[in-house]
Amino acid sequence: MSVISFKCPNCDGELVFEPSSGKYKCEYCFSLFTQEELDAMKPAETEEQPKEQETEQETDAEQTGGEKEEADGEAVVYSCPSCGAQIVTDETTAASFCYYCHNPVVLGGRLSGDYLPDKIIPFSIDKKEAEKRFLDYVKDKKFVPRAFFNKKQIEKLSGVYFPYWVYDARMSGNLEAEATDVRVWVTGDTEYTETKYYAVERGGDMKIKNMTENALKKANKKLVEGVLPYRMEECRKFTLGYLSGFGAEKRDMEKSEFEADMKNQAKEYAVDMMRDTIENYSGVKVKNSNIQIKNEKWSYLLLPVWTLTYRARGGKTFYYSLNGQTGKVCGELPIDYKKLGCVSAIVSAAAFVIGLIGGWLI
Amino acid sequence: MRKGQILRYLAGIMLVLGLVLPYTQAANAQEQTETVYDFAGLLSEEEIQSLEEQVAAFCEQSGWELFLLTTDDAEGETTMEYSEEYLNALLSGDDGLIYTIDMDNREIYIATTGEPIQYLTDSRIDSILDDAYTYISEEKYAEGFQAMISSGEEYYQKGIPGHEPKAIRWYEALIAFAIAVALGLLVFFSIVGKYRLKWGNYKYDYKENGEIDLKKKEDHFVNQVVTQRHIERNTSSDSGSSTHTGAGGRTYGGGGKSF
Repeated sequence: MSVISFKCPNCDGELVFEPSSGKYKCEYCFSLFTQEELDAMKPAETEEQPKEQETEQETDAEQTGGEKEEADGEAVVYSCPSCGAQIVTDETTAASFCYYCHNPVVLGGRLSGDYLPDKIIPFSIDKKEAEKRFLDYVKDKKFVPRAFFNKKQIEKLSGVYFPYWVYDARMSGNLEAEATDVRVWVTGDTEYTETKYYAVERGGDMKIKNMTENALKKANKKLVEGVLPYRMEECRKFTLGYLSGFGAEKRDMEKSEFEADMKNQAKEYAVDMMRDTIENYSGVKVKNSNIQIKNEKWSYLLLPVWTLTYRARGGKTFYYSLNGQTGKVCGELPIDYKKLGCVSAIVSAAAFVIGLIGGWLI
Repeated sequence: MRKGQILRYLAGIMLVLGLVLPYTQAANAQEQTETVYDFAGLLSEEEIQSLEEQVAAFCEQSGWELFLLTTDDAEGETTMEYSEEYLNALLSGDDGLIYTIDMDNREIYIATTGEPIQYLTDSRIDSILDDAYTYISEEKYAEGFQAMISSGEEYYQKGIPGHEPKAIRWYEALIAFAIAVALGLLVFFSIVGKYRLKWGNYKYDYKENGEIDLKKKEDHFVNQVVTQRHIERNTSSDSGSSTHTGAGGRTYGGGGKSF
């Protein structure tokens, strides 16, 4: 397995993917290269050190369930192609930086074979933009303590491609329901309620796409799923180049873990879709439904997420995630309880006054 | 000249007598008391005193004139006529009422004129009479009057039916308070929950990501059920006050109850 660095043909500096231009940029001589140009180059590679791998393999074997195919990818120590220093990684890390020379490295082997992603959405928001979007987001929140967030306290902001499973399904099925139509009218002193009952049947083909699940155990599910959805139509064919300059994680959760849930969920959506076509009734009760999944597709995707660590003044650390494509932010926010309490009290007081006026007028 | 003077003098006496004579009894009574006329002798001295005080208090509060009257000789008139004639004679202003216990016709009667007509509707008069009836049938006449004065006062405070003074009742305040507190808590916890990612998180939207191709669409009518319910119309029990024109050309309201 190899460690890959993309080198600038002009100065031998490191090439990284630049979100704003979608091209590869040399950080030293500022040359820009397109995807095609990069594909034509041969990236620098170093082989991993087998000895180091052995020692780590024992501890990791338990966690991964000892699958033979995976054994190759379990090495956690690599050597940097630029400076030769050791790069220590998690077993799921697929792209990172050399701890010593800070050059981007891509652990190509981690994303090959079964782990080759089907598609990738490259970053389109760069670090500066991400920081700005985050601060704007926080500023917009009315009940975050004033002056709580400032740029200097952003401790760590890193762009990481997280692994996700995306599920598409084609289904067919039918549904039986009882629909009611209620009409009420008044004649003289009598109120009539007419209830008409209908037996309703629906049948057809349903298609559902882009149901997305986090595929990394150590990821905070709330944070990485909180930045969904992505514009999936902007997916691109995966190439290692997109990872240069960013972190990346490979999946450690297999689709079998979600399969049953996803299928049930998809079927529920299918029933909902059919139910939605029963219109213009006062009430609909689904009596019976039967859905078969005709065709399904699982895709393994790498999606861009900016992760942000923020150390508050009190010493508490807050974690945020930011969608690297759309800029959507997710994360727990500190609350200015005093302010929120005041606003709630004002709302209460206003409601009380309005209530009293209402009581007065009745 | 002398003849004319005599004639005029006689005419003057006739006029004075004609006006005053029917009310000599009243005039005599007025000397003793101003508002309570106990011709039937149903009340003791102390009772009259305490009733006078009550009446005075009520008159001051309402600005009306209230009289209490008992008689054992209605002079062949109905209790209504008798009461209205006295009320008309005693009244100095336009707004007044009289509570009469007529032992001759064995009837309790309330006559109203002016403003009290609007306050004391037929149903309210019935209720005042009911209050007094229990006492009067037991010959507790002073208590009967007391009950009538206090329930009359109550109705005065309630105001004209349908035009009751606007007020916030305690349960309205309580409901307003409960809603206000609930709303405040809702605002508080919805924001806390949102900031702590308890809700408002991403949810897959099947409407945006799903497509449906309907092959079968059948709606069959099965049956229908019609139920009916009688609407309780809130026929206002306080439909108003019935009035007529009586003694002195005044408009009177009122009502009586035999005992």
